[in-house]
Amino acid sequence: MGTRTRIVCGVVAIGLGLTACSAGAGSSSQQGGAQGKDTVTVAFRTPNWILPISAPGFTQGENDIFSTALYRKLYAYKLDGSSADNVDPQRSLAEPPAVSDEGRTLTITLKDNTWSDGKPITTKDIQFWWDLVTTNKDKWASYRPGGFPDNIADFKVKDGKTFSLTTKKAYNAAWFVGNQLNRIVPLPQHAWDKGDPKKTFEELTAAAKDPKTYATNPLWKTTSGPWKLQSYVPSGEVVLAKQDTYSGPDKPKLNKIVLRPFTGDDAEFNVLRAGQIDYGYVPPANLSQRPYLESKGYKIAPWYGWSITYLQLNFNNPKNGALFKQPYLRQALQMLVDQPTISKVIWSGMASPTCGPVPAKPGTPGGQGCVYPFDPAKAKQLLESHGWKVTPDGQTTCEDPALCGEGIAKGAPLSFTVTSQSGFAATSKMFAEIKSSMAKVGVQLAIKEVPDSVAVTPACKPEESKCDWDMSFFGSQGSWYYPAFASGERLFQTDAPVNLGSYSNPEADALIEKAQFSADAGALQEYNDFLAKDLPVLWMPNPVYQISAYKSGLQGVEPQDPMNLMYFQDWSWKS
Amino acid sequence: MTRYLLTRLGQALVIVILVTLITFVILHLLPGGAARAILGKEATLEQIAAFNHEMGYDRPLWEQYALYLRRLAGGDLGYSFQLNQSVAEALSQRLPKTMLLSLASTLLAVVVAVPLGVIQAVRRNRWPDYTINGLSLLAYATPIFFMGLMMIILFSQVWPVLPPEAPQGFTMAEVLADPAGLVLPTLTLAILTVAVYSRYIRSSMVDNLNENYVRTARSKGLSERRVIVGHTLRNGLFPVITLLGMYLPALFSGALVVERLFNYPGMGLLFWQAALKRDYPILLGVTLLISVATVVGALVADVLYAAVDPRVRLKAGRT
Repeated sequence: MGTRTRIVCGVVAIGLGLTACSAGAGSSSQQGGAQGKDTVTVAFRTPNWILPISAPGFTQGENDIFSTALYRKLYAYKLDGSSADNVDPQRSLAEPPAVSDEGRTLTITLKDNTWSDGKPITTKDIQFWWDLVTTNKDKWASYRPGGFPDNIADFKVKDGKTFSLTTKKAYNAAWFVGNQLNRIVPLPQHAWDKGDPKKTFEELTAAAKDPKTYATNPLWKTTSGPWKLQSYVPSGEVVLAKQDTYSGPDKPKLNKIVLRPFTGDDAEFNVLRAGQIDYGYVPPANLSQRPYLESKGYKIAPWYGWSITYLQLNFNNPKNGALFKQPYLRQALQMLVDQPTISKVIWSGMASPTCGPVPAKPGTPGGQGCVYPFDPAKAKQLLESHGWKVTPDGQTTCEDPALCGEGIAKGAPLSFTVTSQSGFAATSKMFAEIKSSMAKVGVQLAIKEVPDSVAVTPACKPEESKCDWDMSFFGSQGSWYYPAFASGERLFQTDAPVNLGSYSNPEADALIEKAQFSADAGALQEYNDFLAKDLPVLWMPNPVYQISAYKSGLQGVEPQDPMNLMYFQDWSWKS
Repeated sequence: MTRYLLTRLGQALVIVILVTLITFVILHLLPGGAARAILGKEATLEQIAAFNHEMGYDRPLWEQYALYLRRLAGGDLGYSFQLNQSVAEALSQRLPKTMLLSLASTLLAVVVAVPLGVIQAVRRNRWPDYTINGLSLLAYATPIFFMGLMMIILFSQVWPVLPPEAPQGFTMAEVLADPAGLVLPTLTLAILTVAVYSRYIRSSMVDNLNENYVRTARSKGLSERRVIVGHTLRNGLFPVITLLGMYLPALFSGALVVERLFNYPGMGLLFWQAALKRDYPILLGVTLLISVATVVGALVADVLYAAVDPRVRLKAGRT
């Protein structure tokens, strides 16, 4: 410890009542920065759910990454188009499913793998998972009435390595494999099963609700993943250690991954700047410091998500719902959102236009060929041709109700309130820009920022008091992340669970169903093309999931998984 | 004195119960509700109903409050769904860290502010007074996040002698084993407090130095040092006692900005994050703790007053 440090420490030691400073500047960083060639320190929110059957409220990305590091899912996916139904043949625990019975039966054969205690992973472990979720489906976050496992007519175990699922209806295999089989996680039956699935589930849930014992409870010692839990501090640091008995092909190259949480973006960025973490992120507001970070040996890598971003419109709003139901009006509003410029200037290139419900090619920025590009003149013309008296920088009102559309009275103003997210500088700037663009054709936009816009803009009926919101934005880090198959049954189908704006269009419903059930490979494109035009929401610039920053000596970080998983086992230090 | 204390304790209890009641009602009147905030946009109506049932949010408000009080009487502060931890556990994890930081910075502030205030009073309207006054105003006017950021840039990046974050240990032993990490957050908090305290002490000392008892002490031939340290300072410290009493709740409530900036998860951050997620049990737990600290702080200040000022004691004894 240097003299200077001692002097500063001495001053504060008076206040602390301490006799001496025992460590120097590096002491806090013992857990941070490159700690040699076998460890990586990662900025990471503390996961708070270990059981691979996720419970409602515990579905955050960090829990998924943590759980996958310990318990491999039946299928892993990659979206680079190199394999059928996006199944990652290397990382998956089973061979790709064989489809028969006109698409209704999927037969799955497990590969040879073992649990960390050396016991083989068999269909007993799949059966165990199946029994737990079917008996306790109301407590499973992924359960939707009518969805998996309600849509399964028969689950049959053929032998120790093979089982089959027969569905009640014939599904599009790509949809079923990507969006249903992704939920299956073999669980260690020999270590967890207490006989009764209800009782077993209760015990497992109780153990998962006691995070301080995660690293010590013997339950969590039998794992199938490449990592084991070395230490766990609730709301604090988590250390994953290489699982020596891991049977998969993607063996970890590092010995240890230290997951360090931060209290906020500022704290994380300060530590990143000081070079004390190996993998972190650059808060969008600090992107201007990219050259400094690069000079410090960091590589900056935007992480493109398999996602879309949109502005939800409340079709059931008793006052403005009638306006949103007019396609021409949605088109005019969309033409007032300058997605390319906002992406480039406000998001510093770390966002790209959303043009429809199906994201652009995975891992790349999208934004090519939007149906309604930014065109205020055309928007003005569209409004005028539908009976609106456009007053630039004033208030545009309906002059001819017959042309304005059903439920719109003479003199009705184009005046909306957007409920947006607070705490995101780029989002605030984006809406200020949109407000200004809209004002130029007399559309008044008021911006209300709240910490959690989703919580105050629920799906609602017009007569409910909570239905007074007009527009809602919750996409500062992307509005929606898809599983492998980007279909819209949860977003844009009538009464879909996340259809917060209550958009409803029979044609869209039919196309969504077609993408889900038909074997027609073009169905998804057809659905995308229709909704890109019909505007169930206003398409907005889609920000990257995160701007990652990692030490340039770290290999295997890229490509970053568009479905937001992290495969630490691929990481290694350049020798 | 005993009767005085008992009366004050009774009042304190009523205040604490009122605070919890008001907090409880206000929290539950907020639009949106906890279920959607915690379960997210993907939650189904069934899952929301199950959550509300599990947490008791589907019962009438008065019943929820009665249940809360009953659990509280049994020492149960509730369970935080968002943290997947009991409230007591979350508080016990963060409170010691917050208290360490607050105590360290307050102590440092008092140790520095008292001599500064005395120097200013004794040398008033001369250059030491002007210099300290100017620096105090500058420190007082500087936003705390800016101060913290400057500290980090100066002492851990430009001149890298200290770590940019507070100690990351879980236990107090681990935190205390890394005192260098506490330097910058403690200094950031203390600088502002020094500015406030030194102003109070200066003003109080100036008033006292003009009092007759000081003149008497001087005329008796006491040394200036004894007059100032032995007589004037003792009286001049009254405002600091009041301030420290008022400061007690701050020891428990944490310093959000410093906690965020220095990656030091304490009470301030706990409350902030709970507020964003409508985590009622945590919000109620923290509010309860702070309201108890506030009334106890006021009580301690009164008792200390009585201890140092016989006039307060006599007055209290008569009533």
